[in-house]
Amino acid sequence: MNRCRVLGFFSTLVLLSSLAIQSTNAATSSNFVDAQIAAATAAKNRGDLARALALWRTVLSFDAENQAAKAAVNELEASSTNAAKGAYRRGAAAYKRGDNRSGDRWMLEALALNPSFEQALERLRRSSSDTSHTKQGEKITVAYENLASNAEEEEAASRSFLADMQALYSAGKYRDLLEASEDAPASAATDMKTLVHNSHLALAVQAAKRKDTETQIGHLEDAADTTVKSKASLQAHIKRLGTEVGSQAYKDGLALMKTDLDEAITSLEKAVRYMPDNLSAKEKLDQAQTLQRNLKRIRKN
Amino acid sequence: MKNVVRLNSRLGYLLVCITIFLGGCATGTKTPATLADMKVVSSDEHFTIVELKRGQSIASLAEVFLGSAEEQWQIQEVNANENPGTGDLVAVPNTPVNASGIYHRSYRTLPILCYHQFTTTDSPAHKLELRAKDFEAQLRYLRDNEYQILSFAEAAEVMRGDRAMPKKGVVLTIDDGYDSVYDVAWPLLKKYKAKATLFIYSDFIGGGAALTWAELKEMGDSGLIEVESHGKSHASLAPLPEDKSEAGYKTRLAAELSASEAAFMARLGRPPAYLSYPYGNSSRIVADMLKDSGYGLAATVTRGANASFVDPFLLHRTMIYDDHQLDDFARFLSTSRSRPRP
Repeated sequence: MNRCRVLGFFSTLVLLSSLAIQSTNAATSSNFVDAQIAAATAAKNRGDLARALALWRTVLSFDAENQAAKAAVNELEASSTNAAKGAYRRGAAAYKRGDNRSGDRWMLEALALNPSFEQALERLRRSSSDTSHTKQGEKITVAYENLASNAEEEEAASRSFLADMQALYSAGKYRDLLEASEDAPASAATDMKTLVHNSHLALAVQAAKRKDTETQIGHLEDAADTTVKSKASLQAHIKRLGTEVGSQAYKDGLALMKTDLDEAITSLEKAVRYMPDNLSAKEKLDQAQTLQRNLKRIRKN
Repeated sequence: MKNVVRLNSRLGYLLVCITIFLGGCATGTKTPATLADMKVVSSDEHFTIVELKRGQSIASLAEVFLGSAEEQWQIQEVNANENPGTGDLVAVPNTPVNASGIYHRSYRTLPILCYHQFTTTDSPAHKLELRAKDFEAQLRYLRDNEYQILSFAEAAEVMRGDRAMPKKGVVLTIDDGYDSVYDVAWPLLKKYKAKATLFIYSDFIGGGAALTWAELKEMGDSGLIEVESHGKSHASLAPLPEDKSEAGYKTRLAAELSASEAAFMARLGRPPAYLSYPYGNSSRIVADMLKDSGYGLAATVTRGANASFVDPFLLHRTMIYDDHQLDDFARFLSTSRSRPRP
């Protein structure tokens, strides 16, 4: 008997629990639907048809047979589509009369009503693109004009500079030209190279006439630095002249070894400078320098 | 008496079982939710209706159904109850309800920020060089304010309409390819798990103050960093006086782009997919050329955020300078604009 009462008690408990669970499910469903409908109604009342439609659709997703939801979705689809199309037409007309600002606003209105209105999005995108390109165009036009204006100024300055340099060259003022070439504008660099090269050649010729071979070599070396075409022949000429100067310096050095060691070393250094491959000159220079060191040591003691 | 004792012990045993059962229910599941864990009540082409089980939330629904907890705003937008609890029904959108982000009162925008160099010192060399502590403060701000940091590839999905314009999104970009990106910015980006897109010009890489290709590859392979093009020589991609003609301009553009692409193929094994214009300068010709060459997006340095209808080859970006304070930074993160009425 007691066993039966206990079993009965627990059966009742289970039955009541299952009833409670069913009640919760029904309440939950009702809460969801009611809340979604309330939100949808509020959205519609403030004109937010797209949100209202989305919220009504959630009710239909939950209960495909909900008649109120079916009716609301149908009505909202129709009204938002029509309103969006109307907005689109107004926008298109605004663009046509050149009022892009108004056109954009109508397209935004169309998309707010119907977020998947592809045509409106595309038209809005085109308008935005045109505006952006126009602004870019304005920006780069200013930049372009500045660059072009700078380029023109540079070119004018370059032409004027080259004219002055040409005048110096024609007047035989080669040293003045070489000094002024330090300030040549970048745009005149190519033309200046030729003038500088020719000036050095001219000065080398002048040095040769007064038999100043070392100065001649210096100018020929500078001329070689400013050319590619005649570089090899100039370098060959420089080497020949260098050998002449070096050989003379070597002879002078040998002659001075017994009478003036310091001057001998100076001459032999010159010989080595102009004939870097000449072993005899190097050996003689070493000898002279060793002798000089020894003499200095002796004098100290 | 014996019967009473037997009954009491059986009752006690039953009570213990019930207690254990209820205790088990109370603790809930601790492993990440999967689709199998979801209680789907119904579904159609538009929405899936889910009943929240114990331990689940909108964030976990977003994780399972939308791919990321960061997308939970999409669920909140279509539910009257934005904070449902256990047993409540929640509608989950099966496709973006409003991919363009244009709403009744406002439209969403996506800000793109543009950085250049970084320093650990307190004395930046110039205004494009940002102090590490300021960069970290900015990353922390984004994290604390729950911004969704998108890659350029994700931004491309948004601009194509394949992904909803995020409620609070931002894109981080870094131009040129200075070595301070690897030394200073990269550790911070990793710390905050922040994605960023590097726009490098190929002539610069491997040079004195620049990143190396190895460093770019390392960062690119991490999944956090995208490496994309800023051209070959950083020459403006707008018409220049030395172009002399449209044909000359196009020839120069083709050379710039193809050299950059060749460097990417040789060093990274793939061509660039996106580009940022040197100096932010563009033209219709170069935008068309990029489109025809298969680029997905291109960015200027025109300040402002990007609506879904912005020209994808003229994206706006806001430069971040050293003298910007955190409140300036916050203002640059505009993710919404009021919709002007006709």
